[in-house]
Formats: sequence, C-alpha cells, structure tokens
Amino acid sequence: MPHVKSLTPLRATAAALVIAASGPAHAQLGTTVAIAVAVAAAGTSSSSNPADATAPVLHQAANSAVQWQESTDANQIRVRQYVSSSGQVYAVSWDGPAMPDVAVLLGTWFDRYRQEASAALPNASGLHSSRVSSSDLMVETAVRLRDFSGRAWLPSALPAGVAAADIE
Amino acid sequence: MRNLTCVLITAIVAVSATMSGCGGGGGGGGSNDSTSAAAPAASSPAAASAPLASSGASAASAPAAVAPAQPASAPANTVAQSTTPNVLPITVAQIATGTRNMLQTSVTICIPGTSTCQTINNIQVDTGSQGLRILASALDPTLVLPSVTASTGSTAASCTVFGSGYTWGSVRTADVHLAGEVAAATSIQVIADPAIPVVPTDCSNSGLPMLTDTALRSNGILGVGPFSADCGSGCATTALPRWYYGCSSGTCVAATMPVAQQVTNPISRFATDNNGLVIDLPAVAATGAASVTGTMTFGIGSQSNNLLGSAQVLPSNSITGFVLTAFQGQTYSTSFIDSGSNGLFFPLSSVPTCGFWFCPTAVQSLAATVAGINGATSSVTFTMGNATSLFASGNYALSNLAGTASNYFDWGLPFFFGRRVFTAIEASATPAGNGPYYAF
Repeated sequence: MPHVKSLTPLRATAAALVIAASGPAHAQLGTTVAIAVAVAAAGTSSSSNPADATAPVLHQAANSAVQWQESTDANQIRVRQYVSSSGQVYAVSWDGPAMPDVAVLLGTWFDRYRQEASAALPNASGLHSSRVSSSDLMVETAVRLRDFSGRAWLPSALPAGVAAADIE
Repeated sequence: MRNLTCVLITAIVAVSATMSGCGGGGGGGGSNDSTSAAAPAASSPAAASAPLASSGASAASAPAAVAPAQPASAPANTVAQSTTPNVLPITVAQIATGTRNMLQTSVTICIPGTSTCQTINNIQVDTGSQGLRILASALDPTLVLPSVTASTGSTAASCTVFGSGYTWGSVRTADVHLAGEVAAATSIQVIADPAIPVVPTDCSNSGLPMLTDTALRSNGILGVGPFSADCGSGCATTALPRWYYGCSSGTCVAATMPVAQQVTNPISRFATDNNGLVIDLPAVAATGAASVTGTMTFGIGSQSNNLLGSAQVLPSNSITGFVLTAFQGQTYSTSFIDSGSNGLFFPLSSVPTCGFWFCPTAVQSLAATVAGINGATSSVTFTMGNATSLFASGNYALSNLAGTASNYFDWGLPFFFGRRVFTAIEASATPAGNGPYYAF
C-alpha cells in the first residue's frame, strides 16, 4: 500500500511504550486520555503488532518531545493522536485510501472546522485541499487522486519543543 | 451530420423545450462500444483491434518511439487512429463565487441510447479525480437517468470526498458527449439527488458539504485524471467508508461497487481517443489575465492534434498515480499535476504567507524537477507572486498563485498556463507505452 510513508523509519527510531488508554480507540482532539504506561521496553519497539488497533502503541521520536499513538484500521486508514505528557490530545493526523470519520477525530472542534472552511471557500485552494488557520485551531486536508490525508492541531496546546511540522 | 440526426430525433420525440445541445449521434442502444457515433473513424489499418489494452498486454517498460505494426494482439504502443472530433473548449474566467483559476467546460449528457440530452455549463475540469459529477439542481427534471444498482441489490449512491469537502448523490448512467466523443452508458454521480436519501452521517462526518453550486463553485466536476474509475479495486472488494453506498428503505449503508459500475472517467469509455488527454492553455502574464480560453483534446497519439511530440513522458506510480518532485533539497514522492487545484502548493518556509497563500514582497523565480518512477526527469521553472495582490487585481487567471502544503507538491492550474500537459490513463496503450503518466 502507498500509505506507509515514513512510518517504518519513525518506528525504528522510536521507543515504544505500550499504553492502556481508556475510552474509544480514537481519542478526540482536545480531550485528555488516561495514559497508563504498562511497558517501557525501549529495545522492543517493532515487535508488537502494528496493525492491531486495539493495542495502541505510544511512539516517541528519538530526541524529541513528540509522542503519538497510532492505529491502522481494517481499511488501511492510519490515524495518529499526538498526546502531551499529561495525556492531552493536541493533534491528530490521518492517511489512507478513504477519509476517516473526521468528526470523531476532531470532536468538539469539528463544527468550528466546518464553519471556518465554509467561510474560506471563495478564496480557497480548489478541490483537492483545504486549510483552516486560526489562533486556536489549525486543520489541513488533502485528497489527491486516491490518497486521503490531513492533520489538525491546537496551536496553543503544542508541548514545548513540538512544532507543527512534527505532526505528520 | 450527426447533429442533424440528433435534431431530427429530438423533434420527433418532442422532449422538454429546455433540452439542448444534443451533441452527438443518437442510437447506440446503450452498448458500450458505440456503433453509430464514431462510425467515420475506421479508416486506419490499425483501428480494428481493441484500443484499451487488456490486462494481459501490460508492461512495455521502455518507451519506444516507433511501434512495430502487428495486426493481431495490440502491443502497448499501438494506438487506434481516429478522426472523431476530439477538441473541447475550456475556459478560466470570472465565476459567481469569485474563485480564481477555475478551469471550466460544458458537457452534454443524454439518457443512454436516446437523443434526450442536456448541455450543462460551468463544469470544472479536474485532472485530480475521475468521473463526471453534476448537481441534480442543474439537470432538467425530465432527464431521468437510469439508476445503478449496488451489489447489495439496493440503489447505488456515492460519497465522494475531495480535499475541499464531499459530494453526496446517486450513481446513474448517461451517455456523456464531449466534443464528438461519446462515453456510452457511463456511471456518473448526480449530486444532491432528491431521489435518494439525504446524506448519511457517516458521509457528512468527512467534512464540508459541497451540495450546492455555491459550495461546489460550479455545476459539477469532470474528473479526467490518470485512472479509469474514481475508487478502483479497493471499493470492489471492500465496503470502504465514505465511498459507495447502497440505499434501500430510506437508509444508505457502505457497499462494495464493481469497478465497471463505479463513477468512471468518461474518456476511458470513448470508442477511440480513449487513452488520455492533453490540456492546452495559453501563457498568462505575471499579473494575471481576466480570462483565458484553451482546449482539452482527447486521446494521445491517436490523431494529428494529440501527438506527444517532444513532451517528456514521466510515468507515475500505477497504484497511486503520483510522480516525484525534487524541490530545494527535498523530494516529495506524492506529487501530481492537477487542474482542480487553483494554485501551486508546496512546502516553503522562507517566504511570507498570507493565510495559506504565499505573499512574497516581490515575484520570485523558483525551480524544481519532476521525476517519473522510471527516473525520467523534467526541469520546471516557475514564478510565485504576492497572492493578496493577485486577488486584488480583479483577474481570474493567475499564473503566479502559490500556497503552502505540508508534505507534498501539487502542480495546480498555474502549471498548465503556457504548457501542453498530457495525462495518460492507467493500463491504456499510448505511443510511449501504457499509462498512467504525465507528459509535458
């Protein structure tokens, strides 16, 4: 599948922490997940089943404050939730052969996204991407040919040391 | 000659007075291979064999300039020759929503096998998607197109997610007439069709609705990208969310859809000139132009007006359709050439932005290299202006409009100005081997 992109190298350099997150598999933007770190086995990053959405793994890039939880569903839609050390989901991203349920991923921010995207339409970027850029919410979507990708984040909630470019 | 027949039949049938632009031969009886419309074509010796390469005749990795003439099974480089009128006018001009760089055309659709037809204007031309989609509100109520049945036995519907929002509507068949070409009994999407249930939450949760001419900024979309169907085999094997649905008893649920019934790139259904297209638009000055007109010409290497000539062929990934773009030390592997994007979009941190557009203080010249998956490359130089100034100019064709993208390179409509850009359809034979590819 074409949708793996940089996943493998990132996984290789990450220390994987198996977490037990309460609530739905897809925590919503802005919510806080209870992260109970069960295992912190730094040397066994890729041994767990990466495709099993029921066993999310907390990834941490080497030398970075960026932590994300990733799952790939049966339709090969890959979703990431970026979480702060306190468990807040400050960003989400997705990529796959179909659009994920963006309302679920954005949670209470979904209506704001639609309002601002609608208001921006006249000077928007055409059929294949959209962007909402405000002080408290950023959303980018791109649908190119058969590839569906996007990301959303809360600028004021980015942890220290995390930049928008880290959200992939 | 064909118009005469058409008018005659129309007069006899006495359809609604609002019908117009019959556009091409009647008859055809709904068969896939047009028997009447393209009749004058068969003058060339190679015309008899099927123009669309079957799966057995794939490959031809090295583009060969001269195809050996083989009569029986057509090799990938043999293209059936055609004399069917294959040129459709396209324009970029002011539109109701004020959106810049909207490439538009007119299409004529007919009830399959009949001369009951309608011409719809303000259809966006999009090389970044596949299939014809038209707002139900733009169609005459008397143009009742047959519904496609979902594999579950229910009425087929489609949730088509674009980057800017989704279209929801029925899947119906129509004879699609573009210039003199006919895509007979081809699946199209009728957006916001009142005959099917309203959009399911599953679909509307994808983002912004594009169910009106204001939200869509057009009356519809003509997707003429590098694939023959919008979704492809993924939707044939799996009931993917936010793609195809089966509707019965007022409820629509995700369903599988065979590729042949999916909303289809009409070009791939033409009798000839069916392996791709070339878009020609004039160069536009740095400050833009109020409007421009150009052409989309169907087929590649099938007539004297669609020869590749000196264009560099850049094969794209046969599954994703993407090519690569090298720009300022980075290589972006998910690049495409897209008439449906109204600017050039790429990552660049060294230039001031205004919203997601670039707003440099002076026009900047930039360079990139586009590469095919076989390593063939083509250098591209382009310029980028101040988006705020360009929007304020009152011009609607803007060659210097560019904006930010997170991790890809989108060669949008400005790329097409002053170029002759070919898009070859997957698995179809061209003089340079099978598609998919871009060439310019």
